[in-house]
Amino acid sequence: MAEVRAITIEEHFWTEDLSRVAAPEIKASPLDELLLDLGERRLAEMDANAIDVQVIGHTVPAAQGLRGADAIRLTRQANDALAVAVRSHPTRFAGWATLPTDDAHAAVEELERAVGELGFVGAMVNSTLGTNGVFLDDPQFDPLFAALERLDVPLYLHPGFPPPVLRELLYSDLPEPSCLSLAAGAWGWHSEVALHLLRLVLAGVFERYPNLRVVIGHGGEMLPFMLRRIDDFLAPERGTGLQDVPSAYLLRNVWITTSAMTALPPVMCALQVFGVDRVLFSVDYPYTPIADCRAMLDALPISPADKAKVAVGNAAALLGLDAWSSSGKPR
Amino acid sequence: MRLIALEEHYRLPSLESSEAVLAFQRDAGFSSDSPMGRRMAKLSELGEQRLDDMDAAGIDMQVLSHSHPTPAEFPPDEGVELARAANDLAARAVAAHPDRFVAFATLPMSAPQAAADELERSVSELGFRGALVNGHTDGRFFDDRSLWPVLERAQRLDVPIYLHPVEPPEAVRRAYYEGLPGPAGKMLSAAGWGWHVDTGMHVLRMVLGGVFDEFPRLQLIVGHMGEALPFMLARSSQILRPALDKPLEQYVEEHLHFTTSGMFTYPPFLCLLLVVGADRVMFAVDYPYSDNEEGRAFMLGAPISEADKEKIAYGNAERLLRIGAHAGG
Repeated sequence: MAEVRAITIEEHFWTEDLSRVAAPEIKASPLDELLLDLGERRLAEMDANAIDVQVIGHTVPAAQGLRGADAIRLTRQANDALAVAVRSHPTRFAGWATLPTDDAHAAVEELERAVGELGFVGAMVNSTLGTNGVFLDDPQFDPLFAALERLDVPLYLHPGFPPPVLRELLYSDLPEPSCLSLAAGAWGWHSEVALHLLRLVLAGVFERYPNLRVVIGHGGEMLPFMLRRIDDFLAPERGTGLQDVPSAYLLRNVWITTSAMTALPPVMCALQVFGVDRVLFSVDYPYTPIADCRAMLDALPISPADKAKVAVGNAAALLGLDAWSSSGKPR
Repeated sequence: MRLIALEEHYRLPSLESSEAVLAFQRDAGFSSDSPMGRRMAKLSELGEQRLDDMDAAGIDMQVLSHSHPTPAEFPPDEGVELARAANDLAARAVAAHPDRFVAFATLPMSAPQAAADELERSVSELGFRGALVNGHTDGRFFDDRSLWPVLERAQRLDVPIYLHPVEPPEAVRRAYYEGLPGPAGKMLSAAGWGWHVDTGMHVLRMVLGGVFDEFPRLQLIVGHMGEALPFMLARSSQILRPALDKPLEQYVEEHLHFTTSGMFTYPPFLCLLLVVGADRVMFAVDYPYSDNEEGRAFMLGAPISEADKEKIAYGNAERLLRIGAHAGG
């Protein structure tokens, strides 16, 4: 049975209204019920796998593909619904704000409301290019980074479906369901998040906002594996205009979760490259079985002290979950 | 320890002043007096300077392959001529130094039937050990049946294909890599990121498109520690299981080989080893883009058994490419 208690921080839900508008084609999935539940069913699964806290964010695509007042209204409703669940179970749930990224100004306002009034721990953005047509390095999002820095909360940069042009060029002409899988969880989601983060680095976002904190999932979206290569070819002497190599920013401003990663080798790679203080256990509920992730954590060949950091301590420190000490035990 | 390096490049001297090369140097900020510019100046030399560089780092043998631009980037007629010229040039270097060089063919992929014929000529007449192909051909990946004559011929000749990265299709470049300062977008689309994830994705397309079901003896080599595939394999396998008749891992065990080209740190190397095992990993430098000395130090210092080190440094390559004791086997 599980030995260490755990906090998991890339866990998902959706609201009836937003999912019906934003993702009707995946609404029919058997996961619908699990995503809608923010109560007993979820808590029972957490209990069965010694998960003490889930940090929950609205699943892809949220309202990021919607425009105007509808996007803002549905986003607020989703955050309000999550806040109700967090208030009902304050020791078991915490919340990521979802943001109406089509309107950068409204996104800042909703972030301020979600953190200031609802007590959320940060924001989860599902990439952006696929829905809104731009990456977050676009200057319109500078106020969002300023707000994240000012509020001292992290941004969870989560995958989203690639834009139509990528779907057409890289992920078409294969027997279904291969195209969709390849564009999403088998590859495209992950390579795009890493690309997105590298664009933020190269656009100087972390030089302009040195205290900005970003979290990425899936063991670091291949970046730990490729990091030295990235440094070799994107060093300042290549004319990037940055003060330092990309890893200098990634190792200072970025945290990695193990969401959906059930195999040890990539997690070991992430630990070796980013260090134990920057790797956080997560599940990606309800898309990945909690028990499979739990088994990975239990088998991870690191010291008990380091495992307590990965399981609980790092998340508590990163997100300011005050009920949890860095030793991994409740106060 | 004997060292055979698998992904070592040269270039036809006549292409040094081609628009493709000049554009790349310009877009990537590689002036001829930059460190990378000086390295790239070594591409067109296939004699004493290269052998000196190999000797200085204890590299016993290079498996030569033609660098960017590939014949596939030219109109079919021109590509066929360029491929023949490039392969003949490598063949002369191999003939002059048969104990130091073997070669992979470069192919005019935009003319697939001619590419298959050039592969056969290179293997049967020139003694080459396979072919190195640069990613997509005009946006077509190897799951596209129009490219299958090359794979069919590789299987018949019993030689591997080395799948090397290439620039993304132009529309992908516009969507993903524009709007960044200076040469950053260009490098991000290439060796800084895009090359590698596109190549890893290409391998998955080959599996999903039924290439290895159609060609059950085809062997594929992937560089750069496996182009991030080892990192993602368990997750990709889980997601793709409903689309495949057998697990993704089984395709890896039956068809894929990996090299260390251009990646000389241990975390990805150990990830690769833990995922695919020592029998499927081979040493490579990526000369002249990467440094022979750095590659050697990485290989000899690897925290693995001497037995596994010998497999990776030369043993697996001798077996797969029929070099030395395995020649003619």
